[in-house]
Amino acid sequence: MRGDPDRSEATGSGPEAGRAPAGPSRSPYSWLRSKKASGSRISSGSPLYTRVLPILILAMGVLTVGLILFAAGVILGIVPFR
Amino acid sequence: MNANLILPFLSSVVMLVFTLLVFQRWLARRKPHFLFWSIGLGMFGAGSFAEAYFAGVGWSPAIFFVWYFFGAVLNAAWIGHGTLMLLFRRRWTAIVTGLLILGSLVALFLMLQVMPRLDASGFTAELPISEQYREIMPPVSDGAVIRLTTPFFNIYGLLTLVGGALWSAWLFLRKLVLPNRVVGNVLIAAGALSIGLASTLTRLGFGGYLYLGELVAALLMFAGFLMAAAPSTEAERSEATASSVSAAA
Repeated sequence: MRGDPDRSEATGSGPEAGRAPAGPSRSPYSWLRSKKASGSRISSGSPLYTRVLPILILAMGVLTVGLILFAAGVILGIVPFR
Repeated sequence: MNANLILPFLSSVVMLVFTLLVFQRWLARRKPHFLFWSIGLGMFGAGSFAEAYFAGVGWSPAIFFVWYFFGAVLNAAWIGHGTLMLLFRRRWTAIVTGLLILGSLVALFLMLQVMPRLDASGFTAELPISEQYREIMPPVSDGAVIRLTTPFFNIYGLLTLVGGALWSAWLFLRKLVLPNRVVGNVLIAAGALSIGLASTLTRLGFGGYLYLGELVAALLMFAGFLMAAAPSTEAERSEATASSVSAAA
């Protein structure tokens, strides 16, 4: 289950994420807006987000597959039904 | 202090607050995933309350119905289906919704069929119900077909709930945005895995860990939801909007 995000938020990002739109409409203060928006970005140097969480996500994925295989084993009669 | 009473009681209190919070969101926004989540979370809470009831008050066939039908059979699938509704807003999800409702009705029929055949003569409030239900329910070969349905519902629930949370966390992580949603989804996945592991241990005959697994699951999922659903700052909103525009362009 996830939080509440709207789909528009969930799809967000890409290399331009968080930057003010370029072009003639760009405000002279856009650098300031860009700086404020960086609060919702993950620092690419953070070990928590670049190492710990990816490994955790992978480990939980493997565990999920293991549990699903176990339950499938129960259905198929490989694991004795108690 | 009786752990068989305290642990599930705490779980049911956490789940009650959690359910009300999610239901309130459904009332405000009318998005179907909030409705499925709140129904599934309510089922989880009802199952936990039933466990506390068995430890504190004693045997009741109606409470056993609540515990097994909502707590063991349906809740994971309904919560997970909410995640599916959030991630995929396509027409085929309506078919899956129909299948889930149909499957739940079939399970209800099977559960009602087994109710008159429960044997609670050996029930004791000293032991968790998860360590006694095999003696209370007749075997599958003797008509308790409902027991065969639990792996189907739970595989679906695990796949959609944990898979959906991990997938969402991975997407945000890969794009290096919205750290609260990355951590929130990881917590939700960890909570769902906690109850999945405890249920598997119960299936293997170690039912004593179920109540602790439920409390850990309730706390982690609630914390994860609060974190993932925390109101975005104006800066976050504008960033998400800008990134959606750039992704679409």
